Amino acid sequence: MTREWSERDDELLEQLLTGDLAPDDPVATAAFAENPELRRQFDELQAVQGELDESAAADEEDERPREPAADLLRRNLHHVPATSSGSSPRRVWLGVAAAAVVLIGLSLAFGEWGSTPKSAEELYLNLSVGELHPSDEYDGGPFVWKLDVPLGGRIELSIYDPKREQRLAHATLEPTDTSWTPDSAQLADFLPKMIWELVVYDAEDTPESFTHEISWR
Amino acid sequence: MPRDLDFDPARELALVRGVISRDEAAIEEFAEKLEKIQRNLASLNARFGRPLNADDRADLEQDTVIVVLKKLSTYEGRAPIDGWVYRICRFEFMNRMRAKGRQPRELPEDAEPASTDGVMQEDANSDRVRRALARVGGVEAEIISLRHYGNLKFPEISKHLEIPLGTVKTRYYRGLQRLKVALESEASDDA
Repeated sequence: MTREWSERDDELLEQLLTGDLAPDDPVATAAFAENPELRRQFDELQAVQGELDESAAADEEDERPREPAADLLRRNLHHVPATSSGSSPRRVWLGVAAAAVVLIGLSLAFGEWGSTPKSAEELYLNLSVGELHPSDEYDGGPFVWKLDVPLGGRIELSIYDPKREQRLAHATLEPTDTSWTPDSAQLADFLPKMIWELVVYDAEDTPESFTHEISWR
Repeated sequence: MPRDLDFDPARELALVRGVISRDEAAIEEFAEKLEKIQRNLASLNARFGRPLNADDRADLEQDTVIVVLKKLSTYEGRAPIDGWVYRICRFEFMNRMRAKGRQPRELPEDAEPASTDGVMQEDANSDRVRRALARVGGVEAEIISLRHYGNLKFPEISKHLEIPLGTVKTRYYRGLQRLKVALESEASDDA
């Protein structure tokens, strides 16, 4: 008689598919004997892995001959500026400039905790980085922001879990973009509480990041 | 930065500074990081439905290496070099894809029509897998692409995406499950 699927089966299946556990390992064989559904699911997902590998192999056949990376690096070494890493007064200045030019709002957010939902148009937070609210609610609509003055570079938007361990969504945007809407797959990944981060680049490609915590559901 | 990410900022920063000061050992080691650019671009190309052909990807790889080298002095050791390089690859790839989107799709001069049923079937299967992967989307599709099309190991993916190793494996497993469903949908759409 087959027992019900358990969290342990999920753990075993994950280990089998990531190569942490060999299918002929006694732990695996015992689990397969105890739960034939585990064997069936492993076989099916292994077939999916096989399809991926076949697809990747078809792509590789199309590859052009490449220069070894070490040669490529040496040939282009003149592009590496002969200065060390770290903040320079110029970079600090540009960072301050970027902070000054970008004001961010999150639309389709609700105002304060538990308050009546507001429309997108009502909720241009229009705050400088030091004034961001600690939390707002998000209802799945577009993220909207406002730039006070034109930005020369680009914008990258990322959504993270509260501990910033997983990036749930990411988008690279043009400086003229003022909104971004997650697609359904990204929405499926969203958590009840998230961090969103906007990294803006000025014309000199200097990044400055702004983070904000949001909640939903 | 996740606390349990295997990452030594001082070591990574020392490596970059070594390249900047033209240290031969550092150059050799950094070249290994650059090797991954090709794999990063291959996985991104698969993840986004293969918009770039092999020539485009070869050009983009060269351009991305130059961008990485030009930006090297801005690396501050806040993230693993692999993750930092991956972000540049992603940005350059998206830029190239957007630029290509504004141009009519062209076949290379030496392009030949598919000559055998076997090749056509192989392409069709490959396209079906990539379409299904696009349906999965999100970080799960990114991890699957890096694993299979980029041929990266899970610890490498962890550094690329700056996600803990355990999370990478769990998301990979969930992604495979979603991909299986998406492949079934593709099959029923084709039928």
